[in-house]
Amino acid sequence: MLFRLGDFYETFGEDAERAAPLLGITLTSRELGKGHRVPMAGVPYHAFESYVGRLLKAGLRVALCDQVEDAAAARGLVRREVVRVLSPGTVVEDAYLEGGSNYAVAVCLRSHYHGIAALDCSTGELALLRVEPTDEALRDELVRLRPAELVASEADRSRLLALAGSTPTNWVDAQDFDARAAVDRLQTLLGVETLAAFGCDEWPEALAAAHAILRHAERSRLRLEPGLLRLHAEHPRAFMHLDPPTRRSLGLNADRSPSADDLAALILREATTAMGARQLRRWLDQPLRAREPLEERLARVAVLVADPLARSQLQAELRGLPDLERIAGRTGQGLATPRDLQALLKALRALPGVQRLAGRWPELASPPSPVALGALQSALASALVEEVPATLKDGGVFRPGFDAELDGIRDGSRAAREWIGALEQHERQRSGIRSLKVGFNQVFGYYIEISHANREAIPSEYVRKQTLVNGERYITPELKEKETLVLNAKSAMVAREQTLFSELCRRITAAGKDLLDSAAWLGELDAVTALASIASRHRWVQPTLRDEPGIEIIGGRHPLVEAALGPGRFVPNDLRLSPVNQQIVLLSGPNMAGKSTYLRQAGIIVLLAQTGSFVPAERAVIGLCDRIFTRVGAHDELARGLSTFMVEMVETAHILAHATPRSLLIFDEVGRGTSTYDGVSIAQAILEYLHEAPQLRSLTLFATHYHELTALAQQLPRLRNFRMEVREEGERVIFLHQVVEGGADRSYGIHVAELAGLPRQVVVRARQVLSDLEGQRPLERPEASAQLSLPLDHPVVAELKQLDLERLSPREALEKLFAWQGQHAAH
Amino acid sequence: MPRTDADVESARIAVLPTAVADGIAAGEVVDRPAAVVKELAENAIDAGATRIHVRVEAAGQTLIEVVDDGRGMDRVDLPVAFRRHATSKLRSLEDLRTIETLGFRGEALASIAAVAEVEAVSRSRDGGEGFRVRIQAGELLRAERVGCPVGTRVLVGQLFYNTPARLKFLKQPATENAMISRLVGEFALGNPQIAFSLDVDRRHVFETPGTGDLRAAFAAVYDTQTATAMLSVEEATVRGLISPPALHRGTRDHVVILVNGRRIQHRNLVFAVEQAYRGLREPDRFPLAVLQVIVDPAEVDVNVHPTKREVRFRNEGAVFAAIERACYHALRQSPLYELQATSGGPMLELRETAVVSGAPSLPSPASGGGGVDPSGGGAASAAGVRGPAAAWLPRGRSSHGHGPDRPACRPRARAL
Repeated sequence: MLFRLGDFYETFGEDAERAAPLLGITLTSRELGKGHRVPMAGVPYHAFESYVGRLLKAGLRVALCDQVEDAAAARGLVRREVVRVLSPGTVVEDAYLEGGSNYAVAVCLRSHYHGIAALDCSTGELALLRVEPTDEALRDELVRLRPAELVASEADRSRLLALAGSTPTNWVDAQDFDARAAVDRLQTLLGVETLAAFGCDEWPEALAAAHAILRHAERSRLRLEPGLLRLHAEHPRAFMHLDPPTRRSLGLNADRSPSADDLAALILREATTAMGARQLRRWLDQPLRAREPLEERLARVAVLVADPLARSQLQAELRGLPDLERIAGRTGQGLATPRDLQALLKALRALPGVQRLAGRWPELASPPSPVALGALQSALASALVEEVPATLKDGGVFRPGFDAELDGIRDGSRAAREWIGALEQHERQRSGIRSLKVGFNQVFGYYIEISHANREAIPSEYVRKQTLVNGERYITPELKEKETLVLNAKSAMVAREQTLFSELCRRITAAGKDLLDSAAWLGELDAVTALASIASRHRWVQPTLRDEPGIEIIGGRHPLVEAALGPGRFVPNDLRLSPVNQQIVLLSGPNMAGKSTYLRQAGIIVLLAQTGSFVPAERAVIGLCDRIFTRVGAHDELARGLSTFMVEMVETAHILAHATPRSLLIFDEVGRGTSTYDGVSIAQAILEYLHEAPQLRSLTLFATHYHELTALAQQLPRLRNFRMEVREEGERVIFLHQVVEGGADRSYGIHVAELAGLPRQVVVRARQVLSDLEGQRPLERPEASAQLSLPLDHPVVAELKQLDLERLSPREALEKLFAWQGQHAAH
Repeated sequence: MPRTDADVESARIAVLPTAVADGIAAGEVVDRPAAVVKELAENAIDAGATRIHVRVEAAGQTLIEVVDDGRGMDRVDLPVAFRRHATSKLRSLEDLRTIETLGFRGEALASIAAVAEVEAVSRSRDGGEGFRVRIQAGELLRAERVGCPVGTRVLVGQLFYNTPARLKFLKQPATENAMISRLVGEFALGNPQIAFSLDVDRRHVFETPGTGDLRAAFAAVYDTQTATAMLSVEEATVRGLISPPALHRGTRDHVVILVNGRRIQHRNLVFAVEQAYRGLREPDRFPLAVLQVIVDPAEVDVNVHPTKREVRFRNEGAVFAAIERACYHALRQSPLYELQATSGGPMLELRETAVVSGAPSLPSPASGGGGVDPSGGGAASAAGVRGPAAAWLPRGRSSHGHGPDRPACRPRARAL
């Protein structure tokens, strides 16, 4: 709680003790009542935003308690009220936000589904989702949304505490989660009779969460303005699912910050507006599964790739545009500044130009600019001066001629000042006193000063106010009258401008829907332009999309590695996956030969295609996937008490449980982190399962360092061997980075160790040991294994063995069956 | 530009017979970094590249790299290419007469390798693996297999390390860089179907999209505004872009003429372009232009100069006339664009003026002083047509004593 005390915002008590070290301010104390000292720490008012920003980053909620009446006019203590509650998820000021979306997320746990409501207070975007009632499903969505703040029921605290992690969470009353109330509230806010059009009217869990998040916003003193809220329901089936490890390995986690260097950063950097960047982020986070919207998006990108000149003109137009969504949001909150309105005017002026440019292509056609926006533009243009000040507090925002009352105040003030200015001359003439002076000081205001010598000639209406050594100072009633006018004019002017400003903001909010529609169109335009830019610069091509599963990539490249290596160094490679005759590509060969890159680029190409972007390849035919799973890289999660191998197994289990025939699976070196025999065995069993299990048959890329597995191709017809081509010249090994058919016949581990710089002695000895080992105990080729059968150590089987069937009653038997069915439903 | 090598016998590189070698005037081709860039870029173009990337550091003395995605060379051809008088593009003197590729002398690579440390990496489109060679002072140091994409990459380092005399003759780094930039820019403009990109000292100078659109390439090399303002020239044998009268530069360097796809230096043909602007330009301001001129290969001799920049025409007058006519038409028929500065700022916006109807009787250069009646004729209408904003257009340098009654068709606006 920050209390406004003069030029400072002060904190007291525990708040002060917490804030001082966090903000690097001094902790002092103050007397409160008799001999009772209270800790206190404060920040200067003019710089408070940066301090508040730090508090928010630390996950704290901040309440601003300002003086709400004029300190001079108050009697006793000045009245104060909490005017603003800031929390990481409810801020709307640019000072606390970065470019990307900033969600406050409410989570509603129920038995059939979990409901999620994500609200970006700064842009008015409200997304409703409903997911499977599992922790995983919830976690996946939360990782994607990256909430700044969570809202959940106190009753669910124990279940959600782990999931929430370090995200600031508000545990609220379960009553806040009220679906019916949500429907009423949303219908009012959106100005509709029914929510059916949004597709979420049958989602009570999500609606309950929506109510909770709206209540939370209200408690933070945010105004929810009709027209500025945009609702959309997200149907999980519409999007390709990407779990957190997949997101990480495909490089989707970064934001726009210039230091980030993964795929998301590469793409987001191309956007020229904040609206476009947010839209691109949404597209990347939720790749589509349906062909039609993707083809439509691709058509738009294609049109802009083909005409680079027009595209750069378009980008030039877009570059200057402000963040319309945020400005609209702030205006609705009554938090807009004069500069915001000026930026809005600039945007409205530029809009027709952008529409004209884009209008050249039917694919990019925009909604016709509504009349309301034209009227708004005129209103703003006639109201605001050319260069508005940063705040309203000193006035000077509105043009002369806009408002009669304001002009009156200004004119009156000017007239009075002119009168005072002319007074000296006037009185000198009138009284004949040549040395008469007119002056001003803080104590007496304006005065007329006359030296003692001229005491005789003083006009009668002068009233003596102050005596000095050399003379006297006088006032006249008229002088005082004019003085009052001048001094009051300033505050009167500011007050009038504030009223006018609020009215303007009201007009803007009234046109909110049109504004946000235009902003959304601009955001999409910027997003496709960005995709076209990357495609043009890096020579990406338009993918062909198919409904049937199957992937064919000719000359595929990894966009980040290619960029890092520079021109002419990255070796492109082909990939073919088909459920009919090449379902599993088993890739062997040494490390450092480029296997991981090859695997990742496959995932990236499919991801990009399903984002509606061009892809880094010569040609690509992509059968639309429902999920991409990756098990890539051994990141140790020792901090969580899990070993590398355990993590691998957990992730692999997850994949095997959830994959479908339309999924793309990418495994990189499964079996690392445990003994060779175990690793080979597990890898082989997994491959067989992927090949045989009828509910799988997923397209799979499996990289391995166990070249023994290549023998599997003989018994699994849809598994094909490939390798990273390696040439040997004497003792040297040359990586060609080319994927060719046929498995590797040896492991090149020792060569790689040599390349890495292990001492010569070590390498030579390793070779000796290797030949010994290979001579003694050749790792047995995997035998043609038996038909896949129920694994004999399944828990159900174990229990079954325990049962005493002689003494089991039919009822107990039936109960046992129900219990097993319930426990092992996933399998 | 028709330049397939289906006409050349085979893609294999073979050493020219001595007789043929003697028939070619051996000259000094590599005198500065820009010459190295030129030779490598021409090889890349001849190899059928769609992307050519040029990188230089320290004005080309430390590093020159040219990367292309053309057809590449296999392990047999790669080292041979650096031997003197080796080329894939000629078999006999007869071929010289109908030569359609840019490079054919078989000297350039060898000359370069003689005065620098060269590393070339290439992989043939026809299959096979990548190969790398290292050559220093003409001697093959190393040859080995390597992983690389289809195409060729040539790195020239430490240029002139063994000929300090030539180093001394180099100009300031800024000047050498400027030459390289202009050279690559001209290649890009002459080959809009190839995506060129240029990095100088880690700074990205430009990159063209390679879509075949000359205007888009022009925008990348110059800027979008200028590109948008350029006028199209579309005759049978002369095509390209020329600047509107309001856009001009201080030197003749911005008129780029290509004959059969080859950039040539030919004073007279540049005059032909300037002639089309008579009356529309001041004597010390010159137009911008990129013109592709198509001439029957039998009518032009390219073996005139070692650098292949100068050519001789069988019928130069005809070429001159064709160019002048084409430019003249373009200037007359397109709407005259003007650059006008908006009030209070250096920002320029384009505004279309009405088409100048009828042929203005353009005064000959001799009468440029004041021989045209400003109040009558089509030429004068250009002034009236400019609109009310024209009055404040900045006056050009009145170095020739022109007063306010100078011919109205002279544009005033300063070039960008």
